[in-house]
Amino acid sequence: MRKETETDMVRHTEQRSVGYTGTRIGMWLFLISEILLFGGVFFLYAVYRYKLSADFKTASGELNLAIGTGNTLILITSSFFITIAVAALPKGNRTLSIVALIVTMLLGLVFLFNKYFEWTAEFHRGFYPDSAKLLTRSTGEVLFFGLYFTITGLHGLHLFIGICVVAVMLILITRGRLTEDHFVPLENAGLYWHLVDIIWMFIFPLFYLIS
Amino acid sequence: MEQNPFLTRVRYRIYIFVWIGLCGLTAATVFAASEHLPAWGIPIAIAISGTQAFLVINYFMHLRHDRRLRLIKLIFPVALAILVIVIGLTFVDELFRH
Repeated sequence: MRKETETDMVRHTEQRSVGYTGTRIGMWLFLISEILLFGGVFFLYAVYRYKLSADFKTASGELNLAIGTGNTLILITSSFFITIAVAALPKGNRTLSIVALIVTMLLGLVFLFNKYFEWTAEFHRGFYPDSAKLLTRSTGEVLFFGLYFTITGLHGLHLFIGICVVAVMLILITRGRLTEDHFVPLENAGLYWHLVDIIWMFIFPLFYLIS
Repeated sequence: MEQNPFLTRVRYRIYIFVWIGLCGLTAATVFAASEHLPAWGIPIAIAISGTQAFLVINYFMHLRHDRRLRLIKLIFPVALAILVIVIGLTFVDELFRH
């Protein structure tokens, strides 16, 4: 096999560069499609809130604001830690990256546990889709809870997938498959996590804070 | 694989500032909602959430510093604008229908 010439090396570097940018563009396009997925539900929300604003306000009062606010802060903090994990690896700080990823995962799990307790409490109080108690309330309240369970459920599913993805990144780093020279999967996992955080930033005021 | 040059240069300090800002904005949105401003409730909430999203996209997701993703810088706001236009036009339609 002949030795790699300088031209070959330049070409390889260019190919890798295109691959790196292309991989991230692919991720961003996926995130944009996610915005349009959640956008559809927010669209429904906007129409019904406009038509039935008084009912939405009453129904919103039934939600637990303390858990909602706490979960918002938890998710913001988890986003901070995954940013640290993404930034630490290219700097060669593998340990910091691993620790930050573990903290991110734990915060994600705490969020889901809180959501579990919140939903359980709501179910016990008779608020769940198609429940006998809910059906005696006004149309707006039924629609509010329908949208609430749909969108927070969809968001929770996204977060669960995010936790699984972070777990895979953790395994890849500990096995040396992601290094300071090759970290684009970790960067993309971070981008996904941030999107899930951004979506929650809109869910929180629209459902918990109707004044 | 070629690195994102910004990632090797960035200081952690900026992430801490952004994190504090995001927590502060969360407190602001809770406070604004407790003030009972019916007409301004939704615009204020959306403005605060929008600012939070702006901070996350630009600093945590590094879009501000990424020279290679100029196209995405354009596409991302366009996607959001399409969503706003679609929702906005629906309300205009609703307004003039009856």
